Amino acid sequence: MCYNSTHKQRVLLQVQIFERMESQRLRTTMPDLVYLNNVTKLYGDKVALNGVNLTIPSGKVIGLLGPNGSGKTTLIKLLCGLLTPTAGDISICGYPVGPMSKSLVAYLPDRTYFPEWMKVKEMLDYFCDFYKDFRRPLAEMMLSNLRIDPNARMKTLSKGTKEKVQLILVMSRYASLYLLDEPIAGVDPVARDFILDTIIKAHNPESSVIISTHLITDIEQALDSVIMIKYGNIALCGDTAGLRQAWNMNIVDIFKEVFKGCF
Amino acid sequence: MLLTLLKHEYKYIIKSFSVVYALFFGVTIIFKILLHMAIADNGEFSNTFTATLFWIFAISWYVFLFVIGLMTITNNSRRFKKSMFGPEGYLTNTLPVSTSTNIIAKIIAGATNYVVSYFAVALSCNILIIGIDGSGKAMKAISEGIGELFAEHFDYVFAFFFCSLFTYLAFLLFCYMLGALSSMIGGSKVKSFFIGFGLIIANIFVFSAIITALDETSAIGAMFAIGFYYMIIAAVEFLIVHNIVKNHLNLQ
Repeated sequence: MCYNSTHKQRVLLQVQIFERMESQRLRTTMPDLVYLNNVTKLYGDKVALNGVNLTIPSGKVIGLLGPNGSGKTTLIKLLCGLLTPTAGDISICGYPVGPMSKSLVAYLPDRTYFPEWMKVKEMLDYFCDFYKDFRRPLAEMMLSNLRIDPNARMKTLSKGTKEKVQLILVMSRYASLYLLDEPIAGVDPVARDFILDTIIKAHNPESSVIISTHLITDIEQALDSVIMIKYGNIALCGDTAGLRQAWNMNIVDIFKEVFKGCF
Repeated sequence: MLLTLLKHEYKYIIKSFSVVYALFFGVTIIFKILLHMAIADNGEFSNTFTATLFWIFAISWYVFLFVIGLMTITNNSRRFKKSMFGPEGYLTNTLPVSTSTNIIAKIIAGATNYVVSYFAVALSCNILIIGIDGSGKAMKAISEGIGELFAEHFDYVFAFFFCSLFTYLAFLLFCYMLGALSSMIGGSKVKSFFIGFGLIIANIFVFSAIITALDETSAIGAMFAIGFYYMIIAAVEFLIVHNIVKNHLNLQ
C-alpha cells in the first residue's frame, strides 16, 4: 500500500513536471504573430529599412509611428507581400510571406484600390470569393448603417465613401493581422471617429492591429503598444502604459522627444 | 484560386466586350439584309438612300473587325497594367494567390478572349454567307474549303492554331512586359518605347532568319517552327513579368 501511494505520488509529480515542461515548450515554440529577423529594404542606394528585428504578439493594437519617409509604409508593404525584403526574413503566424500569410492579413492601403466598373455588392462577392474569413453579414450591416447603396457603382461614390467601403471590407475580415496604413490621414473628425470605432469594434480580438500614422493624438487612447521608426531603424518599441510610466510623459511627448530634429 | 481569379477576369471581359459584340452582330444582321437587297437587285440599289446605307454598314462591319482585333489585345494589356501596377494593384497583389497564378489567370483570360473574338468574327462571316447565291457563291466556296481543310488536313489546321496561339500569347505577354517594365522604371513612357522598339526589331531579325532557314521545308514545318519560337519568347517574357511583379513591384 505504502509502495503504491509513493508510486502514485511519484507518477503524479512526473505528470505535473511533464505538463509544466510541455506548456513551457509550447510557449517557446509557438510562433509570434509577426517575426522580422534582420530585415533590410533598399530602394537603389537609399536605405528604407535597416536590419529591423521585431516580434509582434497577438491581441494588441499597435501604433506604427514615425515622421514621413521613416519607413512605416515600407514595413507594412513588406508584411503584406507588396515588397520583397533586400535581406532578412519575415514570417506571419509562422508562415513566410506568400499566399498563406496573405490569407491571414487584412491590409488597408493609404489609397483606394477599387476597380471603378464594379458595384459595392460585387466587391463584397470579390472578398467572399478570395477570403474565407470574410464576414459578409457584418459588412452588409455596416454598409446599411452608413446608408451606402450596395448597388452603387464605385465610380459614382465620393472619395470619402470609397474609403469607408474599403475600411468596412477590410475590417469585416476575421484576420490574424490587420495592417492599416494611414487610416485617419486627411479625414474629417466625424469620419475619423467612425474609422477608429470600426477598427476597435470590428477586429478579431485574438488578432493584432498595426496602425501606421503620424497623427498620434487622435489614436493614443486606442493603442496598447507603439513602434517608433526613425530613418529605417526601430527607435523605440513597447507598451504604451509602460512607456508613459518610464518616460513620465504621454505618447505624443515621447514621440516629440524621440524625433527631435527629424522634421 | 485560379478558377476564382478566372471568374473575375471573365466578368470584366463580359462587361467590356458584351456591348461591342452586340453592336457587331447588330451591324452584321443589317449588313446581311442590305447585302440580300443588293443581290436581289443584281448589285444595283433602287434608291441612293439604300445604297448609302449599304456602304455605311459595309464600312462599319470592317471597322468592327478591326476594333475587335485591336480591343482583344489592348483591353487585356491595359487591364493587366491597371490591375497589377495601378492603384488596383494594392488589391490584386495582396490576394492570397501566388504571383504566377495571378499572371497565368490573366493570360488564360486573354487567350480565351482571343478565341471568343475569333469565333465571333467567324460567326459573323457565316451569318453573311448563309443563304446567299450568285455573288455569295465565292464566299460559300471558301466556307466549304475551310470545312474540307478541317476534315482532310487537320494537321494544317492544328499547326496554324498552334502558331497563331503562341504568336498571340507572345504578343500579349510582350504588352504585359512593357507595362511591367514601364512601372519598374517609374512609368517612363519614352524608355518603355525604346525598350519595346528594340525588342520588336530584334524579333523581326530572328523571325526573318527562321523564315529564311525554313525556305525549303513544308508549310506545316514552318508554322510549327514559328509556333515554337514564339512559345520560347512567351516563356521568357513570362519569367521577366513574374520577376518584376514579385521582386520589383512599384505601385503607382
